[in-house]
Amino acid sequence: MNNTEVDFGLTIPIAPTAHRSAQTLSQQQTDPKKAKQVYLNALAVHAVNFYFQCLEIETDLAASGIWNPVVQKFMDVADLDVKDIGKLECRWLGKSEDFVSIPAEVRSDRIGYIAVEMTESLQEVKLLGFVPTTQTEKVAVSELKSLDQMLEYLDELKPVNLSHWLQNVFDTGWHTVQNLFESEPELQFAFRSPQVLESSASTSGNLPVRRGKLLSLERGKEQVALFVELMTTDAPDIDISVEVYPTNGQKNLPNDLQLMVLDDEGETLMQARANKTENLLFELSGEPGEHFTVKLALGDVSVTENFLI
Amino acid sequence: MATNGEIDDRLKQLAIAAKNHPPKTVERQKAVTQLYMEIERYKIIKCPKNQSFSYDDYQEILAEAKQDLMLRICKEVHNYRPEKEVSQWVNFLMTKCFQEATPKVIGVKNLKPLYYGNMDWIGNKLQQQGDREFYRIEAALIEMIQEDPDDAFKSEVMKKYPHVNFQLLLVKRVIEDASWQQISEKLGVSVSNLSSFYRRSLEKFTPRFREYL
Repeated sequence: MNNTEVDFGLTIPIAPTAHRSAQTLSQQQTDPKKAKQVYLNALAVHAVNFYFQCLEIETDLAASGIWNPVVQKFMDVADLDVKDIGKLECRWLGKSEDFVSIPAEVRSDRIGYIAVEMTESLQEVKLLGFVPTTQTEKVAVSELKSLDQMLEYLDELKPVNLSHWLQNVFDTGWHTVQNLFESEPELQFAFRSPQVLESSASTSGNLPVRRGKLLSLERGKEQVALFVELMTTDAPDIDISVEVYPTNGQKNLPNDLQLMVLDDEGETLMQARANKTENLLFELSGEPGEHFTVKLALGDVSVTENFLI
Repeated sequence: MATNGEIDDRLKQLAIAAKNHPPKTVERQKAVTQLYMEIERYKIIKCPKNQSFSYDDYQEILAEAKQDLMLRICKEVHNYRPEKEVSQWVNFLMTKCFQEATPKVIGVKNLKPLYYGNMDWIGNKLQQQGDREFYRIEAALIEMIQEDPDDAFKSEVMKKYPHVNFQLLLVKRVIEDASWQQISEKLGVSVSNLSSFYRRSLEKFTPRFREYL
C-alpha cells in the first residue's frame, strides 16, 4: 500500500466546531510544541468520533483524555471510548509520513490504534487504517489493516448483552440447547445432568435462561460448546453459570484446555484447567451494567467472548 | 479511466448494497464506508457557488455542509431511490446541507477566528504565545514537583507496588526526561501499570496543576 495512492483511506471533513474546540484546548498549553500536539490530538479524536457517528457506533467523547489539559501536558493521549467495547487510540501523522507513532504510555488499555493523516488545509483528514495491538513505537502505514477489518474487529468485541436474554432477545450464534443438539447430535452424549435439557425451553418466571454457542479452537479443529445460564434473583444481582462441554462426539474436554473468567480490566477472576474432565463449570454473579470476559485457551490459541450483564 | 456511465453504475450498486443492510450492522457500516470513499474518489460532490459571502465565511459554510452531507449520506442511505443517480441524490442533499449550514456561520457573532490554513501557520501562531512565559512556568512547575507541598504526590502510592509513588514518576518523567521503558526496568513494574497509574494520578491532581500549564 502506498501513501500517495488517491483511493487509499477515508476522507473525513472537519467542521469549524471541531477546529474551535481544538483551538481552545491548545490555548491551555503554554509550550508551543505541546499546543500543536494537543490541537492535532483533538482533531484526530473529533474526526474518528464523527466517523462513528455516521456509522451509528456509540462513543463517549466526553471521556477522552483530550479534554484534560493536565493529562495532555504530561502525556500524549488521544483516546476515544467506544461504548461497551473499549478505548480506541486516534494517532495523527503528517501528510505523506510513512509511520504512525504509538507512545509507550498508550500501548496498554487500548482495543486498537487508528491512523489519522492530517492534510495541509486541515479542512479534512484521512483515516488510513488501524492495528489492534502493537509492541513497537512506530507502525508503518503499509502495515495498517483496512477500515473494513477494523469494523469487523469492533463487531467481534461487542459484548453479548445478557440483560437482553432475559427479555428473550438473543445475539446471533447463541442457540437453545435444543437447536445446538440438532446441529450437533453428538453433543447430546456429553450431557450427564438432566436439568440441562429441561431448562432450555422456558424464559418466563424465575426459570433460568440458557443458551450455548460452538467455539472453534484452531488446533486440530477442536471445538467446544460454551453455555451460559442466567438466573434472576430478588436482588439486582443475576446468577450466572458458565459451562464448557466437548463436542464432535468426544467424551472429555481437551486435556490442556483452560477456562478463565476475566473482569473488565482484564484481571483473572477464575481459572481452571480441563485435565480430561467431562466439563468445566464456573458460577458467578453480577449486577446489570457489569462486564466480564470468558476466555478459552488451548496451547497458544485462545478465543474470548465478552459479556455485558 | 471510468466513464461517467460506469461511475454512475458503480455508485448505484454500492448505494443499493448499503441500503439493503439494516442500520447498525457491520455489513451496513462497511457498505456506507465504501460508498462514501467512492463518492470522494470520483469527486461527484458539487459545491454550491459562492454568491454573496466573504471567502472565509464561504469556506466555513462549505466545511460545515460537507460534514453534514457525509452524516446524511451514511445515515439516510435507505432514502436513496435507485431510479435516480447517486450524484443527483448527493447533490440534492448538498444543496440542502449548504442552506442549513449558512445560518450556523453567518449571523453568529463573536465566533473566534479559525486557524484554517496549514499546520505551520498553526505552529507559528502558537509560538507567538511567548517563550519567556513558558520558561517561567516550567521552572515553577519543576520546583513544585521537587518540593511536593504536604507530600501530596508522595502519598499517592501504587497499591500493588508500594515502592512506586506519583512524585517519583513525575521527577523521572518531567525533570529527568526518562523513557517509560527505563523507568519500568528500574522499578520492576510494567509500562502499562505505570502509565495507567500516572494517568489516574494526573486526573486526580488536575486542580493542583492548573496554574502550571
